[in-house]
Amino acid sequence: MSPRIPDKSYVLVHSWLSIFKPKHGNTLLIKHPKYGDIIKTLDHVDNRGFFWFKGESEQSVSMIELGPISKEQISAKVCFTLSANP
Amino acid sequence: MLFNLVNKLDQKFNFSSASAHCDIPCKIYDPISAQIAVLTMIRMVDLLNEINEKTDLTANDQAQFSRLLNQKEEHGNKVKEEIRVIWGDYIKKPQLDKFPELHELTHSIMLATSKAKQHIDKDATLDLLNKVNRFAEIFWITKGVETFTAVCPYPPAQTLVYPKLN
Repeated sequence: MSPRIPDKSYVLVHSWLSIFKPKHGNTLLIKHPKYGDIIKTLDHVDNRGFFWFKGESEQSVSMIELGPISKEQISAKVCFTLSANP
Repeated sequence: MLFNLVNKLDQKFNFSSASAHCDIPCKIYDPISAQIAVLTMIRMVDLLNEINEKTDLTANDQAQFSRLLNQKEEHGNKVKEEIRVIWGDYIKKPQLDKFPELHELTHSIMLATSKAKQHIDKDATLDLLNKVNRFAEIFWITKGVETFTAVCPYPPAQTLVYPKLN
């Protein structure tokens, strides 16, 4: 499967997360202690307020590998993607 | 055009980067998944041919035919995916220098898989197995692992290239 954001793409992000609250299906930029700055798609928020992100393909970092993400680790929301070969 | 413009701005202002989808270099590669997927396709063709030999098909036969066909299709896609990942992520210049046939072989596996998916044709699936076995043989040589061939101890009892891991 092709990644939704191809390699070497440019993404425009905003960090007005207090106004535009993250919702299921949003593509977000996360600061992860193991994977660094990584862009993932929000799957759900659990009842303790942790965010869980899904992978885009079988090769993706899985939800379990990524683990629970706190609100403070979400740094921005992707609002536009620009690929070399759209 | 817009991409080129942003690219120039990037060169000037050095935008920060993030990883996006996968490409964690886990270094776990093994052609056995592709080989087993081809065996599944061959087995599905055998079972489809058994149904094809019947004169009257019951509803169960028709349902089974559909399930077998779906599995053949699904495993064809798996063959392509597994081979593409090894070719795209593992195969690099040193392996290509040693085995210049790799690009051509990989492309021929893609075509042979399509042919095996399009038809209920045992010869097409066996041809695909030969190609995938050759790919596996090259893969293990590049890892410095000797190989041997053996008939798999389960249907469809075809010859596979295995690594000598002991």
